[in-house]
Amino acid sequence: MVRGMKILPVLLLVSLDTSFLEMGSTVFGQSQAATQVLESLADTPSKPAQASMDLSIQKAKNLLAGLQSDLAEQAIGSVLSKQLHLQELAQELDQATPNPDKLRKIEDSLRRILPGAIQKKVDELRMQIQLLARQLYCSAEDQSDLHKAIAVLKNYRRDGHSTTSSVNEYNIRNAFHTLADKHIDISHVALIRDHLSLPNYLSRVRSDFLIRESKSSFSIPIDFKTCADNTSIFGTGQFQVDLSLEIPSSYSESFLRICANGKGVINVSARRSKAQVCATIEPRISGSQGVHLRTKEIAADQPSLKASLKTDLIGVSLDGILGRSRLIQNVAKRVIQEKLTENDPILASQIEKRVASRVEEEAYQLAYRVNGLIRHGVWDRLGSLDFVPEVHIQNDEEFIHNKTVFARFDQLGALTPPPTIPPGIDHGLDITTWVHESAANNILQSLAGQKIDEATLRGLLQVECKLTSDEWESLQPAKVPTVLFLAAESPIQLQFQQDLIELDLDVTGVEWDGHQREVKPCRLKIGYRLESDEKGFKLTRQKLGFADSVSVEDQTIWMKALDGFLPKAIRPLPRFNNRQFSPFIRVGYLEIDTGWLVVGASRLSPAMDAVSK
Amino acid sequence: MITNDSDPRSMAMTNCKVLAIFILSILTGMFPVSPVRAQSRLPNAADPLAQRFSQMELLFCFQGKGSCLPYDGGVLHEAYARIPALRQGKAIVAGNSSGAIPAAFFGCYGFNDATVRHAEERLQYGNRDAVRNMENINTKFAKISRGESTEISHMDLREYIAFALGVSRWKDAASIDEIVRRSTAKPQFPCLIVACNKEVLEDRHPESQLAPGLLKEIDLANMQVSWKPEVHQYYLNHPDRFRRDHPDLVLKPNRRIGRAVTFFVDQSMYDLLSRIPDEERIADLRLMTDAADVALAILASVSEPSYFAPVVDPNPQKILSFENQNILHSVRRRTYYGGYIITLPAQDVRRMLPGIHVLGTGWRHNPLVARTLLMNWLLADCEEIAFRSDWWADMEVNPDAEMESHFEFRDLTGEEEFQFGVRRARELFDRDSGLPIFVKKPRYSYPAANAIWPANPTGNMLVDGDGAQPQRDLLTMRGIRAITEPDIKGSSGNE
Repeated sequence: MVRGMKILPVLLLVSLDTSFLEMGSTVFGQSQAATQVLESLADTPSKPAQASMDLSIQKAKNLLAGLQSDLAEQAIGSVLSKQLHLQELAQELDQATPNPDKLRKIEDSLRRILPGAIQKKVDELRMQIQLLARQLYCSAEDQSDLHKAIAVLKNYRRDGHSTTSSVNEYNIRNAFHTLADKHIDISHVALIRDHLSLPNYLSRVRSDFLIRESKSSFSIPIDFKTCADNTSIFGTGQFQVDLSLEIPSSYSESFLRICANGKGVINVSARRSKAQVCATIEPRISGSQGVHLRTKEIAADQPSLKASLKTDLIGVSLDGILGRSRLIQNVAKRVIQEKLTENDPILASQIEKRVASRVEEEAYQLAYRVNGLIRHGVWDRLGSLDFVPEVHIQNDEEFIHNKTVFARFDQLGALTPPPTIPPGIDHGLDITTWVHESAANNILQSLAGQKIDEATLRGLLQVECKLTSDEWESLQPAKVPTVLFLAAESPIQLQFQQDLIELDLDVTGVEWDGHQREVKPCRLKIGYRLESDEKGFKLTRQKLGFADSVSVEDQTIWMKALDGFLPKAIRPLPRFNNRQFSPFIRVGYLEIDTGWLVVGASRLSPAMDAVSK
Repeated sequence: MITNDSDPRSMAMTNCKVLAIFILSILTGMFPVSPVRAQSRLPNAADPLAQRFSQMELLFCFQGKGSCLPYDGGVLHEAYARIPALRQGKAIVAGNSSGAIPAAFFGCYGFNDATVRHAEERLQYGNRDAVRNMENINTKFAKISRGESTEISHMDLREYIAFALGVSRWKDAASIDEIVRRSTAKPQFPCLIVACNKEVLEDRHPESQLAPGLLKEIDLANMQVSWKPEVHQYYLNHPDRFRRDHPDLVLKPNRRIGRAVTFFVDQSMYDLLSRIPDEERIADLRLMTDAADVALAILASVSEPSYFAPVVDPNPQKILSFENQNILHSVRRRTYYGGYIITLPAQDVRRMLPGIHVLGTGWRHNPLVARTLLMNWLLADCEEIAFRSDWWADMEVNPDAEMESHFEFRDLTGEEEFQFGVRRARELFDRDSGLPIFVKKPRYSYPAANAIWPANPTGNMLVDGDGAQPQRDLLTMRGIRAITEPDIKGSSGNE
């Protein structure tokens, strides 16, 4: 694994404990406009004028020069210049006609998430290189490819989503990729994409579940000491705060409101000269803290909490002979009570401050937990894959939803709507995730030319996905992790069909037992079937073979290398929790079909927990 | 992986050196050419260090697992009952992260019935609430994402520091310094505690909490950190910029920044490990001579990123770095940032003492997010280092899946966790299994030129040679049956 570079997100993606939106009635894109665009594209030969091309090249050169100049000011600049292939880009732009294939490769290397002001310049340069490459794909052959692609997409539009087969789907995606590569207005590409594809990652969490799980309480010890106008006041007590969650409907974000209600008892003693008064103060507090889960951030409102105090005197004592006088006792009582009352706002403000700080902490914790439930394992990790998905989060009366399209400008989301869960089962699911194979496939493009090592993969499966294999227990320990070298283009293709996860892996090499082995590049075909037994569900390896003929020697090496890397069966890791401190969920529904993987989970009741143990 | 392992220039240089050392070793008779000859070799009577260390049979490593000290207490209980070397003063103790606490204690007081009983009791019943709360992943991640600090006060460790330093009256101590002042502890037994060097390792992006700086590279063979060539050249051309960007570092004509790791050691281990050539030793050595040094070692090792604030060394002159140079020629100050970086600090020890066995109390591997975050902050991929460190383990009492699950939920009491440690150790001792899952062979996998050979060898030390290699590798991952008592079926425990 290389710092700040690629990691393996797909297993995280399919493991998510998460949730979703009703898709059936959602209208995507402007259907009519997209149709018109497709029609118009068919009639528009799009070889750009030389002047326009020259202008694009010049603009790219200017942007490159600006970026290089900025990078020259930083120590990291020389490193980034190398990683972003800026030198090669400069050379290519100096050619009379730059090679579009090379530009596309450089564009891929510019697809980086970088901190600071440099990001804007890198993005601008990338967009310009993308535009230039698309302008340069204008040969007669390119035009012919474009027309074929348009024809495929127009046919698909007529047929609609429901008739999409996997072969068709492959053709449609290819056609769109071809179209997006050519010299077409980028806004038209976006319009067509929005019209053709659906969100490919959906998740939802039941509001009731969160509300139930989020009930908590905490206590704050109160100790204070103050002196006002020769009256010394000491107080000690406990303040108990109950927290609850409200989830109002909200469309453009998920809004959560944490409500706090608390009360306490503080024993106060106030002393002035020879007089001492004992009192109890009963502070109460109520209020709320709003938290916004937005696509790229979690933000909290200012907490709005109000404390009020009620003071009851419970005893007066005065030293000396005068202390026996009721009159003097009353006078002393009144004076000290005044001083206590004067201190009420100060005490109330102290309590507000302490409770507010704790409520804010609880609110953030909850927000990150909810965020984890609906986006866990995806969003934060995608930064390291330089992948920026389109995320939409909202609340309705029943759920918090996340609806995401994992696709770059030349990729499509799902082409089929997510399967519906039978109502009887759906009702019992607290957390549900729908992942379309396209989400994984689109993201996995980023792993082109990378390496996957066995230890990282096992860590992902065990630690992040909570999956295990009996085989791992019996394997020889102290193993040097096997490493697979992935092909430079589309190295991984996943398919979810009829309870089967099929994986095509294009590999160029393997490092096994600490040594790189001489093998020819090949395509591995792997299949895992979803099954269940008395222990619950499991994924059983159904096939492990090769797409093309592979020499016997190579086959032997591959089979040895992949032993353990791709275990024969994977099942959920048993969980042990004695105290039930945190919500314990179990997978209650699993479906793999029509390109979708659906995982539904519900809270494990204590009785079921006992059974599971 | 960023490593110089594959750098042809460094490989060629290393090969030349290796060959030279080998020829020299043969000529001078220092290097054993066969196990028979190795085992017959006696320690030099004129060398007190060799006399002392030739008796050693075990390196016992308390491997930190956050707040899971009771588990280590359980492993200790079982190991002490079964391994005579622990009772006979033939063991070296090491620790990293929270494991630094028991390691420091045994470094000061040694292993005997009373100290082991006391340690088990303290590890079981010590109050670890503050650390456990801080370990809550939701809280931690929320804070990190908001750029807030997650670190808790070192004072939350005062009970444990007091235990390690033998101070019974600690509750009224207002500071760690006060506990140190009350202590009469002194490192007296061979001891090693790991900490990483913040100034050397830190490589985070100046404009982001989560992104890597990309300026440095690390050679995992000797944990040497250097500037990337183009970065070094840039700074040579822009010295003012260097001072601004890295106020704690010194720019040198070569790319070398320093070692990523420091071992806090007692005098005997200092003398032993300083015999390893500079280019091969994986850590700077920081001498511990008094209670203040021991407390510093604990704080340095437990102060993992996101757990506790890093710790500055007030006496950096006690550090042995390169070629006896003052450390301040490389860094303007030395700050320690936890011992997480080396899972099992056995390489240098085993290379100097080929006869010892290596036993670890078990490690927990970081989840991918933490691994990536640490790598982005502090350059090194701790898993890649773990593979190379674990190569040296003869046994690691790693928690099983059930225990891992409990660790995650933090739902066990100290007593329960202790019993898990006892149970797991018993299971692995009985089977003589317990090897790490994944390992990688380190570059320096053979005995050091000045190795001290055992007076009474136990078990095989070297891999059978094929004649092609100039050095014979040390045999590792052997199990520890050779040093356990044959008739002990397990301690009575207190289950």
